[in-house]
Amino acid sequence: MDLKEIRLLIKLVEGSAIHELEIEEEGKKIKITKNADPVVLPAEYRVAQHMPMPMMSAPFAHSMPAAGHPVAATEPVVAEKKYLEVRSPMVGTFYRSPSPDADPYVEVGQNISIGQTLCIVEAMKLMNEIESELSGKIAKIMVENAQPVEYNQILFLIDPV
Amino acid sequence: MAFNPEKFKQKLTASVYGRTFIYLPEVDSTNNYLAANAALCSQPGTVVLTDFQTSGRGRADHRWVSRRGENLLFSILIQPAIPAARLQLLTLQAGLALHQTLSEVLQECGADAAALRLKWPNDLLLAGKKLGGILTETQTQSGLVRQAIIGIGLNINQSFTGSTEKYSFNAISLIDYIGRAFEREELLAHILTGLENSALHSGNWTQISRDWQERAVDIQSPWNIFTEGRHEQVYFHSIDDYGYLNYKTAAGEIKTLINGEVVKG
Repeated sequence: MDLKEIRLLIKLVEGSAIHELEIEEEGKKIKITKNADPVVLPAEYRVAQHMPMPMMSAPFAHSMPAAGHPVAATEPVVAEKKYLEVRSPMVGTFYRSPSPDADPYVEVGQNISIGQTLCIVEAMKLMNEIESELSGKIAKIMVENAQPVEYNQILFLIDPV
Repeated sequence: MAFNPEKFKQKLTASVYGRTFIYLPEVDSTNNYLAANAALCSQPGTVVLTDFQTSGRGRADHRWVSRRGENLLFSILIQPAIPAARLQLLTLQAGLALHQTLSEVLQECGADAAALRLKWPNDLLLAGKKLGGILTETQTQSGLVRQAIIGIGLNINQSFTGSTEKYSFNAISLIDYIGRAFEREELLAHILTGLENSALHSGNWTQISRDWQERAVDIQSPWNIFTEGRHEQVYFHSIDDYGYLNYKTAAGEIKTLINGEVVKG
């Protein structure tokens, strides 16, 4: 495992609901642990995090937070505490199926596993499949098919089973 | 003439791109093949090339119609270490790399390389007609790119001059422009070296936007855009560091184009 792979793993842990990741490979062991002390945020900040984001405009694009540091991605949703969120990594249009006449990738109540495709976010015909970073059950689909989504907007709520 | 993988391997100078090479006489689409055969195509830099695509795609069902064995139709699998928010830059960067290599080819032939331009977001134009296009498909997890498939189609030896077929009205190939056929194996090797050398690195986002604008076709004249069934005449404003197009409306408002058709003039 080289430095680049380790960096990617750190980013993966950082952006996911996982708190600790341990890998053993060819006698070498790597353990990545997220800061165990929860960061307590003022209540109004937490609420603000979950307000709908403003419609995208040019200045918004430039103020997007650096990816790899998703905003509050590991903070539980205030209203629906037990669920984990899958957020849009990019600005685009949300599609639930690979083509208009195909079945949706996932439905509410369906069990999903890590790496499973959940949806497509498209921008200028660049089709980006969003894969799940966790396993569990789809609790809620937060966006209607073919609707625009903002960077970091919540797409799915996942019940970690 | 069928593509000759052995000849291509002899010409290949890129160190990663094309080192794993899959030639298919015919396939539905090289992008689909890469996506569907993960076990076979896991090496970054894997290239799949075909002589004939049965369902090659272009943007918004603009079907790519290409005669068997005359053009370059291929896809590359890459694993760029970039955040998903900047995915659009992959297409822009691939366009820049193709522009660079093909400019060199045109110059070597004594032709006017200034006639080669980029059209938003994924087309290459030569003398105002379509020479080729790029179709990028990606998979992301946790906000990072797990893999990206860059599909490229370039008109090389298929002449559109005098053709009465509807699709050929706005198409051009290298043979049309230069007046002689090209060896596709050598050309592909050249193109892959260009793509590999210009692979996206973090930190050069602003440069991509600037380079792209310099090579874009007729950027200052009005653009007709179609979004959600509506037509609007707008002006180019900028490409942001995430690869999205910002345009200026007639009322002077700056907006970002997320999805829609762009028709110049």
